[in-house]
Amino acid sequence: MEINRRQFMAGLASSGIFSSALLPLATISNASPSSQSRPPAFIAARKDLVGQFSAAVLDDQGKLLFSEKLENRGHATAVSPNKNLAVVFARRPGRFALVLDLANQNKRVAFTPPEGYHFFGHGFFSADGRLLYASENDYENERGVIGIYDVTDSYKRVSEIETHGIGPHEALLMSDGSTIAVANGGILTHPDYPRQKLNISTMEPSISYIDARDGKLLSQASLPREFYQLSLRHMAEAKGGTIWIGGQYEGSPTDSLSLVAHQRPGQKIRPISDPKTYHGMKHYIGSVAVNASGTLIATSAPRGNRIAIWDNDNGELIKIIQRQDAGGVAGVGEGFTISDGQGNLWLGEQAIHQDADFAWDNHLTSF
Amino acid sequence: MFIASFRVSKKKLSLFAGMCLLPFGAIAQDLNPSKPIQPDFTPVIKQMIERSVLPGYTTLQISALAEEEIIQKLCLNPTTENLSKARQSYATLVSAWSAVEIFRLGPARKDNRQEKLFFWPDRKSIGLKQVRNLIVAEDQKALSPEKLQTKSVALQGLLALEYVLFGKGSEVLSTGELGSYRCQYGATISKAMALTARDISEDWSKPNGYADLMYNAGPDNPVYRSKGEVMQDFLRVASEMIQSVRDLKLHNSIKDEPGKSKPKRAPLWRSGMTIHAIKYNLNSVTNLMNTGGLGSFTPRYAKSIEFELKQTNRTLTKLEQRPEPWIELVKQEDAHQILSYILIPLEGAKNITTDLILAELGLSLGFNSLDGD
Repeated sequence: MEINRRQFMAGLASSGIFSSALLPLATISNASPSSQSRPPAFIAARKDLVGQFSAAVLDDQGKLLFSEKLENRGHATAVSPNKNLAVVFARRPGRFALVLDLANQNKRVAFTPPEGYHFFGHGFFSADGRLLYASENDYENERGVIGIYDVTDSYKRVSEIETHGIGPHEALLMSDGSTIAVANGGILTHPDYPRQKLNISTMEPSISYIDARDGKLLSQASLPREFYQLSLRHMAEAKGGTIWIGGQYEGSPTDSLSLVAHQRPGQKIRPISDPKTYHGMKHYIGSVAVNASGTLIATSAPRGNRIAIWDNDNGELIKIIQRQDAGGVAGVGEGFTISDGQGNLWLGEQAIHQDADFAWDNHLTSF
Repeated sequence: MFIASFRVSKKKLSLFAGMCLLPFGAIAQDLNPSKPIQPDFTPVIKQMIERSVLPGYTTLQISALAEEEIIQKLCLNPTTENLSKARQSYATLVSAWSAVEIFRLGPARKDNRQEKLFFWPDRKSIGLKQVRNLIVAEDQKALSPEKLQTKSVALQGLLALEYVLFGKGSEVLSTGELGSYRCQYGATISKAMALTARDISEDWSKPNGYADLMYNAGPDNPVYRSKGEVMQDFLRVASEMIQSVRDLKLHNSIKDEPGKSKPKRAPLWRSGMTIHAIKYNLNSVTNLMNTGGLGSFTPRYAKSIEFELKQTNRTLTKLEQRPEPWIELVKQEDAHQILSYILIPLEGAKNITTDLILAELGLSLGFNSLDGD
């Protein structure tokens, strides 16, 4: 059913049947801000030695400012435009989202999607910071959606947008402030069979562009048919509105293909670089990030222990950085910071944070 | 006996906890200066392929061809006796498949072959509906094995054949017309399965095939940069097999109490071969460890896994001998309790495979490498 603008706005204004559930906050912040603290600069989910999950906020020098326990494994984080709030999403098929108050360095609230839904681990704020968008699985109906939550009203779920694909993973608000880009990974999952891929032979990954103002599909793009098992999962917007996409391949391990693609506005999705570039990356890109000016793109390949840096202008590979089990990449100034499974945060060759008692999870967010 | 097994598992669990106290960096591959010196894995890789993988697919091919022949006879002479023979032969085919289900790597992942042989889970019965529709429509193209192989994966594997032989309307196979569509389709599925098994086998063993890729692991190898990565892959599939049995086939079906059980979430309930298949799944792990030699570098852990899985299979055999079909069995209080106990040694066996053996061989995968998203 197509939603018109009026219906969409009405949805935003009502609690409706999509209301989310607030969770009790049983966790305790392990630090409080001091007047001498530097402001928060990074956030990421992590796991400690006994298997406890948490989200940690660090300053620009890699110093831990505070952390909050998570009930289960976290994935990615959305940061509000004014940088006062961060929302850590559960890893699929998890159902929690934890809101952190970055200014006061503590948790604010936790919430869940409605029954029958789970988070896919990614989300973003609207340009004015009033709404939070989360990629979700409407799993009984095998439908990918973006859930919309009212930040000003206790994260009440006010509406949803179809992503026009299965398994939406990363989604972002483009720099025009109104276009949502969604990577539909194409992989069907259901909590009845947790993390089991149910449709490997019929995958249809795609990138959807959706108008955030009325939820209408603006355009959708797919890879050439021979890449139908390349799950498009992570993305970032570079200079000029180019979307860079990282994929995870579900086909034969002997297939040789490009794992990174980009799409310039109005054009087809184009695989980047020769397939040989990706040898050793184990068919798996874990994160995509851009630097501050949007001229460079970093793609992590944690199974291959390397990060590739790309030039947005010509799509060429600039260099490959070797880092063991490094999944997180985040733009910092004109370069990138990298997080790894050994508890390190790397800025260039320097580890600005080291704590072997923790493993950083898939994604690192800078702000 | 199960109590004894449980106690052993608890001891191991404390060992796992001890392992967990090691810093992540201390067990990560390549970064740890004190990591164990890796032995030469080449002979074991060769042994696994030659004694476990290839014989497994050969048996599957032979079983599928035998089933085709028996179903052809049924088609020509539709009697109760011949249907019974086809169903018995199906059990052999289930055994053969369940012994190679573990090898979800390399050639089995090409062209969706794993799904072609075994389309499961079929959560919304999409595959089943396709099979039913095909039988109603009597699509003649589906009677050519080669053409069937190009159709939906749900139409050409073990579970499609199960519906043909055991599903609603299957009794017509013993009483119906000569050469009925359903019967011919069953024979075609069997032949298609044999062809898929042959394709997998050939891709393993041909010159520059998957076995050669494993033997020649190195920096320029497109799939494996080291023999250690090959070992990781075999340990991964062994662990995933145990996890699939434990989490997806058993726990997911029995749930936490009999009244909440969902027996049809397990495969092969229609033919009553759920437990039979699970036993062969678990045997395939011990086969890979012992006959294949995967456990030869860590004999203590290999023995522990063998102990846990044999205990599990002994208990499953007792359950298998009971008269109730699977869908009723899991709702019985005592059977449910036994099946719940089984989850404990299976968890132990999985952890040994995933954590302890990898660590002892210096092959532990990093947090993000192991299971990202």
